[in-house]
Amino acid sequence: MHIMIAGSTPERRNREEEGRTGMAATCPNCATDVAMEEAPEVSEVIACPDCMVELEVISLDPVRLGLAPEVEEDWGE
Amino acid sequence: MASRPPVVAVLASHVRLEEKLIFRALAARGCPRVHVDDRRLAVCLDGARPEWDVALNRALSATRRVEVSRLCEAWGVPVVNTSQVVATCDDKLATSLALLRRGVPIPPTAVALSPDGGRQAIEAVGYPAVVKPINGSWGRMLAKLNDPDAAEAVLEHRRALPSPAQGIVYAQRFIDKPGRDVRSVVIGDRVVAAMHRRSEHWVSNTALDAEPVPCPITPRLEELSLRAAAAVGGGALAVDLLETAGGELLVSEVNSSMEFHGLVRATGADVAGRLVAHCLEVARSA
Repeated sequence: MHIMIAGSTPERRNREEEGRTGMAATCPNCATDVAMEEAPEVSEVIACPDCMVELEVISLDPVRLGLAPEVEEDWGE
Repeated sequence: MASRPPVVAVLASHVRLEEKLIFRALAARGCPRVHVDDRRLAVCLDGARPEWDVALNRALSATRRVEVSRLCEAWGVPVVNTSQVVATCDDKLATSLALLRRGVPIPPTAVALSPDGGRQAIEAVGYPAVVKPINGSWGRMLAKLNDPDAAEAVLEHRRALPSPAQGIVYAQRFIDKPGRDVRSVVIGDRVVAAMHRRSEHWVSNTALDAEPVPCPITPRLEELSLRAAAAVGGGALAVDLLETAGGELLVSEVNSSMEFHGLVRATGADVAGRLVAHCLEVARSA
């Protein structure tokens, strides 16, 4: 297959992964531990409960958070 | 199609509530899914078709969204929605022309291809007028112009913006709607749900905190929604409508990559389930 996904691979989650809960990761902005009650998804955007900055889940194993990108001009429905 | 469950590729930039609901709907049907972040997609154009039975285009960027559908079509992977539908919906002028061609009522609309002709376009629809970016979303950069002074100010700002697309002046007569607009969701040949978006502000958009409340699907709303969806090419679409003081419905836009968390909250409709069922139907009939 000649599809290249930069930085990750197409994700095919199984039942075990779907069941993961109770995860936490560090906010890259304020270093707070951000707890996630539901199993996070790659590319999910969440807010840091402490500094309120928007964060994006960039990996699951381990869970890592990056700063979510700013809204761009052509984003939307 | 083989007897195995179809593989549904969800091409999504961000996993919002909508995408989570879609993933759950896929899991409930036993469908494996592939989540591809369109921001990270790189493709050899002479490469093999990916092992997807159908693709659901949820790209957040209008620029990438149309290319996602084009790539899927080039691979022979059926995609919801098609590139033609995405291109039409992501351009307000193209949408308006498509609606007019099919006799779907829209607010009086005029366009100027640069700010130089903007004043004429605005005055053709009359004050108060609303000027919208031709390719914008979420209620951004809308301007309500009550008089020529406001028009001059907005056109001057438009001249200063770096994007040539922002130089196009798309003007509509302001519709003094009753504190709400209407959004209906068309999937395939059915209107699956509708809501009012209530707001004290003249812009009713859930991205701007409008309150979603259920809206009855009247025969007129159903008919107009289906005609509007068909006019842009059909698929899975959100149709936005305005009510005039006289009770007439006018279609203001059609969205090809709908957000539906507000609608689900207001109506409880299983939009994600319908969307997945539609994708599977598209895969079956391909």
